[in-house]
Amino acid sequence: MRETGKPVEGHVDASTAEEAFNLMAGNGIVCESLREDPRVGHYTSEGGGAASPKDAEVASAIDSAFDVSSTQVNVDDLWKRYRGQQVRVIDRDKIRQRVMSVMVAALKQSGETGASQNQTLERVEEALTKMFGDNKNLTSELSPTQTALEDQITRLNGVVLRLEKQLAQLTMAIRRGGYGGGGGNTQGRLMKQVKDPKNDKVLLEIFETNLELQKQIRKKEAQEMGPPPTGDAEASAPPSTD
Amino acid sequence: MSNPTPTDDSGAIAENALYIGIDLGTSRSSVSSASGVRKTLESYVGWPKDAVSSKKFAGREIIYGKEAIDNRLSLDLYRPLAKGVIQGDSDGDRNLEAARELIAKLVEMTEPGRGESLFGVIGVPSEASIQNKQAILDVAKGTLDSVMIVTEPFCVAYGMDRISDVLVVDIGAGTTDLCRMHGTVPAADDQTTLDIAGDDVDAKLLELINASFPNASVNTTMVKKIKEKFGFVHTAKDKIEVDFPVNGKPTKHDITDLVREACTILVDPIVDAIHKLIASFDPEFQQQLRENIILSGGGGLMDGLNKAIEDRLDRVGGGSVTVVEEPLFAGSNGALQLALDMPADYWQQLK
Repeated sequence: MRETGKPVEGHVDASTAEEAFNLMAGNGIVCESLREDPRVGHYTSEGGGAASPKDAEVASAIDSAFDVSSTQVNVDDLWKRYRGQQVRVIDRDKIRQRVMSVMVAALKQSGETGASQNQTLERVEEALTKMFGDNKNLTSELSPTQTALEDQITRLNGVVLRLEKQLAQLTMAIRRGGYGGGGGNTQGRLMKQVKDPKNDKVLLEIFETNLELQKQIRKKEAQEMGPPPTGDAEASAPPSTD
Repeated sequence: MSNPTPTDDSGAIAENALYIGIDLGTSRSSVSSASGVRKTLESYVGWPKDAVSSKKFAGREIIYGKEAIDNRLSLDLYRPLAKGVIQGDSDGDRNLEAARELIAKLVEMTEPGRGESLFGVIGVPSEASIQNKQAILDVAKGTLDSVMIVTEPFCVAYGMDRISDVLVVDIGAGTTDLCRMHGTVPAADDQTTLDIAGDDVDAKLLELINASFPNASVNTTMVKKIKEKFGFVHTAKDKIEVDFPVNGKPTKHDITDLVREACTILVDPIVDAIHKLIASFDPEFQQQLRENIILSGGGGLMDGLNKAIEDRLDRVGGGSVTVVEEPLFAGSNGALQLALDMPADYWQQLK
């Protein structure tokens, strides 16, 4: 929001929503909502090939059309209204791809038949009309349960990652100490904690050695860079008359 | 990149940081990560020579490890480490760049998550000079957020939780490192590095094959593969027969005795070095040290090497030599354990 209090739209380049919020907050911008903005460069033809510069131009035009015609709505209201139902959401990327593919097909057909410019335009218009006539060409199905499931999967991923780390640490501890009794480890020790306090002195010594090594590197780098500039302006400045 | 939370007194590990242990070897490097990944990679880095070879590698700019060795004819191939340390760049060489890329690849192989800080311990030869250590720190800094350098045998011993009254013999390709442990970080006189190691066995085997079968076409890469597959010392094994091209035709050759003779060149220097380290140790603990000799590194995989060393040690008071469970990963596992045990504020200070 600007000083006028009126909401404005803007663009921020970030890899995640959280990062985008942080970037804007860092610049004193209060953000009401975020809308994902697929980059033009991400457009690929349906065959999977990369988009040509011309394709990218068209895709950019389509994106602009989307931006101009879209309106921000309160997601909470939508959620209340459509809760529990299956909904289809406008899929910008899908539309972009479909538009590109029908246009390319229409133009190719005109080229092959030697059609005039007017005939070509008519063919493109007809193809786009048919394409926009079917909602399935424009939307993707998204159910509330699906989004909830995706959230759960993301959370589960985090849990699995943490578990993997703990398992790896446990494996290391077992390898070092093993389990006591029961014919387990030959040295008959209980499973060790990952960190053994008796090694603290050793760890400190290793750390200090490495710290010293880094200091030497920094010193060497500083020497190689030479002495800091003395500042000619300062040197040539007239002495203070105070 | 978010900062990890420092450890508390219980040794809890900082959040959002991946701990990595690296054994940077002359011939082969290993990496172990706290996420459970353990990988090994031949220490070779190659750049496609021209547009034709670049096409062969589907546009990949750098080729690593075995793939690089197998395609060495179409690559500018570098083995950035020699005798366990990074080689300097002479005119037009890219050893430092290759070492940097090798470390980056090893770290990449651990598949770190987005936003994770990377804290790594790298094992170096016992007698690596300050300059060598600085060179490794320099090249690792670009990849890891915080790095520590620790001697390789110490990593092995720490990983086995045996840092007291143990003598570690780490046989690599470029160097053989020996280190006696007495519950603290080893001092200079606790360790020694021998220049004789796996590469010398390869060279000796090549020399013996060339002398015995002058018509056979053999090169170092072939010999290295033979050593890794059949290397043995001590007791006679089944006959080792391999195909070498003679006038372009694959022909069987019996190289059993040649392999044994080549591998045996390691035994005497190692026994001498062990004896010196034991003899100069506190007399009260010499026997304990003698009974706890551990072999690690790729050389530890040679069949019967521990037995051969024990036999030779009999002449100077005897000893018991065991091979670590996983010679190839003993160094990187120990380095990882050190990384995990290191308090988080140490890591922060080294950033």
